[in-house]
Formats: sequence, structure tokens, C-alpha cells
Amino acid sequence: MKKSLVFTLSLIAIAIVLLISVSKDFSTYATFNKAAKSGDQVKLVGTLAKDQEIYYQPEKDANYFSFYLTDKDGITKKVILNAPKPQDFELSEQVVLTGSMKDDVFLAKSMLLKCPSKYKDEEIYIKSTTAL
Amino acid sequence: MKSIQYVGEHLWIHYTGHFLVCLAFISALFALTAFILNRKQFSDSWKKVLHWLFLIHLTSIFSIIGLIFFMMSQHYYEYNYVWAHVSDELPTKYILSAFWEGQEGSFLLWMFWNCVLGLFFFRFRSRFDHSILSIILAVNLILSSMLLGIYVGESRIGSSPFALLRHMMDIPLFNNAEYTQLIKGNGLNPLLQNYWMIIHPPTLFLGFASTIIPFAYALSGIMEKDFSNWLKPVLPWALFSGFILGTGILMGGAWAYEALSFGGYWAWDPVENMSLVPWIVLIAGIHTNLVAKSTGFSVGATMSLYFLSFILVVYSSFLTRSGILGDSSAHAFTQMGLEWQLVFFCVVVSSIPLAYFISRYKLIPQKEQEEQFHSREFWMFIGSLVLLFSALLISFTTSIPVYNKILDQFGKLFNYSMESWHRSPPLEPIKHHNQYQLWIGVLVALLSSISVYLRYLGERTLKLGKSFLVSVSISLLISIGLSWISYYSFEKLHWSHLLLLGSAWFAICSSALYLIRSIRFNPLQSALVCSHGGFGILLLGILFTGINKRIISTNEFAQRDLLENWSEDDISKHLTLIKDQKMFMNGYWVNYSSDTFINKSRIYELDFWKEDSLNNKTEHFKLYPEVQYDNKLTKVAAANPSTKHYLNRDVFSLIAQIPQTQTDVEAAKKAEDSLKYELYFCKLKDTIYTKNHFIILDSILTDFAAKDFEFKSGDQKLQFKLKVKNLEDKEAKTASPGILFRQNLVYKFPYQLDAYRVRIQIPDTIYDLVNPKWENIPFEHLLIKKGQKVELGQGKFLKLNTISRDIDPEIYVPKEDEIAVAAEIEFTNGSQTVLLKPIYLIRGNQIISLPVSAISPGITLRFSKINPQTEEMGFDYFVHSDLSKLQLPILVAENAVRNDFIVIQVIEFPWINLVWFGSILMLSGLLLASYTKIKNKRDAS
Repeated sequence: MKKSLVFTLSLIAIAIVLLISVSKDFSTYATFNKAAKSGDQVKLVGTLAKDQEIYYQPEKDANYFSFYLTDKDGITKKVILNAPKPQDFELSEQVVLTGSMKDDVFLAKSMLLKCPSKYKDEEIYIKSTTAL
Repeated sequence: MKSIQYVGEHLWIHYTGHFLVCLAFISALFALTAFILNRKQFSDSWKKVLHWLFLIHLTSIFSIIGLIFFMMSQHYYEYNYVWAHVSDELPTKYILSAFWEGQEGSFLLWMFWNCVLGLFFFRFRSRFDHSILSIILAVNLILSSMLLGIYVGESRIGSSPFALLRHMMDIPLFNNAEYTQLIKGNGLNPLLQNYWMIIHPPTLFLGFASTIIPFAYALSGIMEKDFSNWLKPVLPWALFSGFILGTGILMGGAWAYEALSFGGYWAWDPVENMSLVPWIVLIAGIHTNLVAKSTGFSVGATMSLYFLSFILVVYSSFLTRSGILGDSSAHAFTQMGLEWQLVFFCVVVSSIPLAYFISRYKLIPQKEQEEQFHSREFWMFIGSLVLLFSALLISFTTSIPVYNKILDQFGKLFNYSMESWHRSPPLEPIKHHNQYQLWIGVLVALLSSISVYLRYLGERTLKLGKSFLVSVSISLLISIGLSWISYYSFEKLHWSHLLLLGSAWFAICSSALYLIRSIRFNPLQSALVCSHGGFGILLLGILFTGINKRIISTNEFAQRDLLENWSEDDISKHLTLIKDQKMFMNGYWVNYSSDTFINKSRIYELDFWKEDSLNNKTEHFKLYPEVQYDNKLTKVAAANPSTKHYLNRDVFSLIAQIPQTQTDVEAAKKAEDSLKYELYFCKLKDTIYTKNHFIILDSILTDFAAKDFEFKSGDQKLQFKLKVKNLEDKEAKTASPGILFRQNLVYKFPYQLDAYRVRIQIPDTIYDLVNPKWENIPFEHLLIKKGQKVELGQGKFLKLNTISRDIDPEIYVPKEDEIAVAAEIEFTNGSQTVLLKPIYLIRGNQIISLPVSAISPGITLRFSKINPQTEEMGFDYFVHSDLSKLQLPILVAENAVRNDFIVIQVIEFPWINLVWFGSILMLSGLLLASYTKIKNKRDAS
């Protein structure tokens, strides 16, 4: 066999191994039920339950923000975010959370909001996680 | 529907603009057709045609841009693009930012740079120029189709920047023929009103656009079956492109760090990733290009990498512009209905080179012998492969939304919902990418150091023999030593970090040694040293900053039980600061001392200091983070950080939250409405007992100052100085609510004692208390001459200063048939003096005397008579009882929400300057190399 062929094949093999290992980090969008069952960290998409309490008292604890979220199955649960309440939170159309379920409460580490803006069709995104 | 004749529109722009877009499109189309039909024999006359078509195209693009700037600067809001991005308040310098805020503008920016790049080729000085120019025009053809805004059947092609607002929306406003008078622009997102937004996009877009040149050279080469002659001229372009694209990305990082709320310079956000990936591939291409030029190896690899780099630019513009990144990115553009056009763009740009590459693969020159293990080219090739892997991994993860979309399209065919197959991006993108890119970093640093010592073609390396071994061992030894030192000076390093540390130091040492050992100054060698050494320094910076980033705004003692099993990364990153209550946090004392409102921003002053064991302040500095309100000043729109830069570290601060009452007007109103005010009455020096407090009315003042309020002469002010105390405190706190009467208006200045959650105001009923209804006033009469002073008893005096027919228009504007005379009267009770300006008005044969009042010293007065003979003026007056003798009303609410706090985030970034220094060094290496190549070429010819 030619050296270059061996080389190419091994490259492809490395690439496949790498991609498979990378894709292990890929996550799925869970619901409250799934999150409760697995107990692991998950991504969860839902909408803010506007009729329920939104609690944030920065003068007491700046890093405690709780609200209620309705997931895709229509189940509403309490969410606690370990960060301040983002601007325009109440206007959000969709909330993407990362976190896990514990005792019927979803503990979120980070949150991405999708907000309708002043435009009809345009949407702006607000990120409430911190980076690097 | 009847058509309306609209007034005030500037339709000539609409028509001219559309014409120019079509002209740009058609000229590019003709150029491309001419090129394709006559490709094999591109005669001089066809070159002339191409030359002129390019000039027409360039002129139309430049004119389109000029027109858009014109309509933006003239605020022609009947145009959708102007309405969406500009407002009356927008400062002129931000019109640039507004121009490329929208997709249409950024497409134009891209085309603009393509045209500028085309100017280097349109004189056809060398053999590839006409095909490069044609390829540039082909790309501009696709780009300009995005601006056409024409309908073909049901579907729209492109989105025109010259579309009228009334064509975009169907709202009743457009039933009004004069609607242009009524509309106002939306304005630029406050986040983007920033000087970075002026310089970052053009640089980045020049970077994106310039990757077309290596692409076009490679494509021309393969089209003309010439696989060697383009390798040399392409190099300065590729180097320049690497420099400018790298600069654009770096600026993005600096913007994020300096002016946005990310709290870092890189977040592995999809949009960031997709600008980095083409750059990485381009750098890999530059390396194989060097190999190919010097040895003849890697020609095919160079081509593929240059192709891929531009394909990735197009792919990245698809990702950021199609709205597909919606769930995963914080700053993608929004959907505009151009998705299929963008997909088409991607398909064209990738399929043509691919087709050529496959069909002509056999023609690509292959060297008979294999690269030798100890040759430079072998390791450079491996290095390029590692870079390619890096790009592959990043794009693989970033493309997750694309896989979901493809699954959906596939599912549609079978009418089956693929949603359960959807994948979401990694939960922790930063960790995810770092864990792979760390190894890439190690490999690239090692390879870049080794290849510095090696020579092209293995034999030459062998000739170096001993000196090679000496150099490598010296730099190995030094870098092991330095790694050891740095490993122990930072706490949190993992063993894998030690490897990165070692290879980064090795890269730095090797480059330095290479520079020292080279006998004469050689610009190309220095460029290599700059780039490779810079890369090493950048790695060090990333490592030191990333791993040792320290959250300062955290209070270890205030963690809740809930978070017991959360990792260190999850600790609370924010802290509440109360005004003037200094707080200790992670090594620093912090005090929030004041805030000021300047031009849409509220700027906070934060004092930072450290204390030594003797409580002496050391290292005192101030930071000024701010929050920015939206264009209508009703809501907080953005938080701008403030950073203290030291040589070896930065202290970064950001306002994460301010009291609700300050974030938006509605919340403030709601908060005020929810207060439960109780009414109390109190005489001077008396004490009132509220639910939880004692309040003493200590003094009454008739003058006060207020922040951000403009007082006028004639304003009647009243302020209470109150002493407030709760049951526990020994010392009383002062509160000073105020009230102001101006003509018929009342302004209240409530006072909030945040420590007690008490809010106090003076009710407007106080006016009635001190001013009895004037019909019932038992007036006394007085005749007085100008300049005369009369005693009214009890030490109170009235003095008539002047009589005049010049009346302050603020007080009264006489009508045509009226004669008005104003008096200026000084009233004093010994300690206080007020000026009153009563008016005597003759309307026909009617005389009107308007009463005027002062609160303190209290008097009501009217100008009732003029006796021209004796020059005596008649006044009716009534002296009020002293305020100090009255039971005065006070409103007290004891459930106020604190509004003297802020929530901050403070992070220390050690050695972040290494990141900037390393990147700048690396990029300047690229620039130097590019410049030297161009210069050498010029010198040769």
C-alpha cells in the first residue's frame, strides 16, 4: 500500500473519532419530565408563565431570581436562576435554559432570552450568561 | 382601494436607487457571461469590455452607498431602511454604524470592498487578472441579487434598501397623504452606538471580502490548468487577508471585552466561531502555499484550503443572516426571507471549485518522492492539517442548527416531525471548545517551533546537524524552566495546561532564539518570528487569563444551601452594593459613592482599594461603569463596563442590575403608586410619631437645589428639614422633601431615606393652607410710591421697587386690546425676602388685578390702583400667618423599596495584555510578510 494512502486513511479515521467524541457533547432539548427523570444537566426551552410570581430582590440576594416556566408539554415549574434578572425579561417570547431539576425546581445556570423587538419581524437576543 | 397622492416623499431616490441596483446586477451579469463564453480565448477587446463593465458596476455600487448615506443623513423616514436604523437624535457619526446595522448595508459593505479589491486587477497587468476580476464580479452578482427586491411570482428576490416604508407595512397611517410628517425613525440600537461599531464591521468585512482573492487565484489556476504560476502572486494577498481578517476578529474580541456585557473577549458564540474558522483555514493555506512555492509539494492542499476559506466565509454569512442560529447565538442577524438565496450562494461557491478539483485532480502536479520526515515542508503540512482539524471541529459543533434544519426539510418529505431528533448545542460551549482547542494549541505551538529549525527539503536540515540540536535543546531547556516557574505561580493549572504552557513557551523561545541566531536582519524571518512568537504569547495570555480569571464580586459567606453541590463555576458572580456602604469582596474594598446622569447614560462611580494590615489604603482606583437608556429614555437598554488596566491584570466592572424604579418609567410609576402614604400634621420643632419612626420638623427653608432640575426666577420653593429616627438608632437621619410652585404647576421633590425605607413628601394641599381662597381674603389697602418702603407691623416691610410695562412673558402676555402694568414688590419679614410681580390690567373699561402669593414669608397681594397724578400706586395685601405657626401637612410612606443599590459584577483578568500583545504581534507578522513580498516583487520588476 502506498504511504500517502495510509496517511489519508488514518487522517479520515482521526477525523471520524474526533467528530464522534465531539458529538457526545451535543445535547438535546429536554422537558421538565425528562429533566426530572435523568437528573442531569439539560437544555430546556419554554415560555414564561406570566401569571405566576416573578421574584427578584437584589437588595436581599443579587444572584437569586425565580420565575415559572411552561415547557413544550405544557407543564409549568418553578425555575431558579443563579444570576440577576435580565433586562426586558417580562417581554421574552421564549426562554432557553441550561440546568437541572432538583426537588421539583429547575436550577438554571444560564439563560438565553428571545425577545420581540419594536419591529414586527425582527427579533433581538439577550444573553444572560457570562463568557470566558 | 383608491390611490393616495402622498406629500413630502422623495421618490427620486427610490427610482434612482432601484435603477442603480439593477445596473450593478446587470453589469456584473454581462461581465460574467462575457467571461464564461470567451474564457478560452479572452482577447484584448473582451478585456476592454470587462474593464468597462467593472467600472459601471463599481460606479453603481458606490452611488448606491452614497444615496443611502444621503437619505439617512436627510432623515427620509419614508424609506424603510432609514426608518429602521436612523432617528433624529442619532449623532451624525453613527450614521456609518446605522448604515451597516442592517443586512442590506452589510451586503453593500461587502460589495464595496470587493470593488475596491477589483481595482487592483482591472488593468489586467498579469495573466490571472481578468479571471480574478470576473470571479469578484460573479460574487458581486450574487450579492447584488440580495438587494434587488423584485418579485418573481410569489417569491421575492432580495430585499431593497430603497423600499418604501408604506410598501413594507400595511397600517392605517398610510391613509394619510402627509404621513411623512408623522413618522419618526426607530434609531440605532444603543448597544451599537459605540465607536467599535464604526471601525469593527468595515475591518471584518474587508477581511471577509479579501478571502476571495486567494480563492480566485486558486480557481483561475485550476481553470487554466496552471498549477504553479499563481502560487507566488497569491501569497501577499493571502497574507494581507490573514492580517486584516485577524484584525477584524481581534477587534470583535476587544469590543466584546471593552464595551459589552459578555465579561470576556471570546465566548465561542456561533457568530464568533464562524468568523474565526475561515481565518484558521486561510492560515493553514498560507503555510501549504509557502511549502508549494518552495518545494512543489502541497499544491492541491493549498488550492483546497483557499477554496475552503472563502466557502466558509459564505457559509458563515448564511449562518448569521438566515436566522438559523436563533436559539444559539446572542448576536446573529435576523431572518429576512433571503434564506434560499443564501443557500444558493453557498451551493454555487462550493460546487464550482469542487467540480473543477475533482475533474482535474489528475492534472495537479504530484511529486514523485514523499516528503521527508526531517524536512520543514512535512511538519508545515502536518501543522496545516492540525489547523484544518481545528476548523473542522469548531464548525461541526457550530452547525448543529443546520443539521436540525436539514432533518426538518427531510422530515417534511415524509410528513414526519423530526423534532425528537433535534440536537442542541453543547451545554457549556466554552468548556466544550476549550477542551479540544487546547490540544490543537499544543500541537500548533510545537509544530510552529520545530519547523522554525527545520529547512525545506530534508537534506538541508541534516546539514545543520549539530547547530540544530544545540538550538532545540537550548530553547527546550529555557522553556521547561519558564513553564515550571509559571506553573507554580498560578494556582489553578491542570497538568494539561502545563503541556500548553510548555509548548507556548517553546514557541516563544524558539522564535526568539531564531531571531538572535540569524546573522543579518531579514524582514521575512522577522515576520515569521513575530507570528510564531506572537502565537506563543497569545496562548500564554489565553491560559493565564482564562484559567485564573477571578470573580471579585462574590461573597463566599452568602452562598445558599441550594447551591451546595454546584461547582466552582456556578458560584454567584454578582454582588449587591448599597450606596456609601463599603463592602469587602475577594481582596478589594468597594464603595459605590455616586451616580450621575449624563446624556442617556447613568454613570456610577465605584471606589476600589486594598488595605494592608495597618488599614492603610493601598492601590486606590475608581471605575465608572454605566447603564445606557434607550432612545426614548424610558428603559435601560445596555450596560457598559468599565475596566482598570494594569500591566499584568485588568479589573473589569459591570452593572448587572439597578433598582427597578430607575430601569423604566413604568416601573417607577408603579412603585410610587404602590406606596402607602399616611398624612400627618406637624408644627415647627414638633415631633410626629409614625408607625415605626419619630419625625421632627426641624426647619423650613424657602430655597433648595435639586439635581437635574432647572429652576426659574419666580419659582416658589419650600423645603422641610426633617429629623427621622427609628426606635433602635441613636442618631437621627435627615430628610429634606421639597415642593415647588410655578404658575399653575406643582413639582414635588419627595425624599427617600433608603436605610429606613421611608419616603416623605410635602403634599400640594400645603398651597391652600398658606393661601386662603382669595375671594374671602380680608384685604388691607395701601398707597405707595416708587422706591418707598412701608412697615406693615411685626417687623414686616413692603417696598415698591419698580413699575413697568415690560412684562415678563412667562407671567403674562397682554392681548392687543389690553394694557398691562407690572409692579415689582419686595416683601420682607427681617429674615426672608421675596419678590412679587403683581399685574394691573386694563381690558376695555374693565380693570383686573390678579393676586399673587408668596409662601414664605407668606403674603397675598394685588395691584389695585394707579394714580397718575400723585404717582401713588394702590395695593391690596394680606399677610399670612407664619409657616412656623401652622400645622403643616407631611406625607410619609414606610414601605418604600430601596433605590440606592446596584448589582455589580467585578472580574479580575490576569495578564490579559498578553492576549492583545500576542495577537497584535502575530498579525503584524502577517502584515510584515505581505508588505515584504509586495516590495520584493516591485523591486524585482
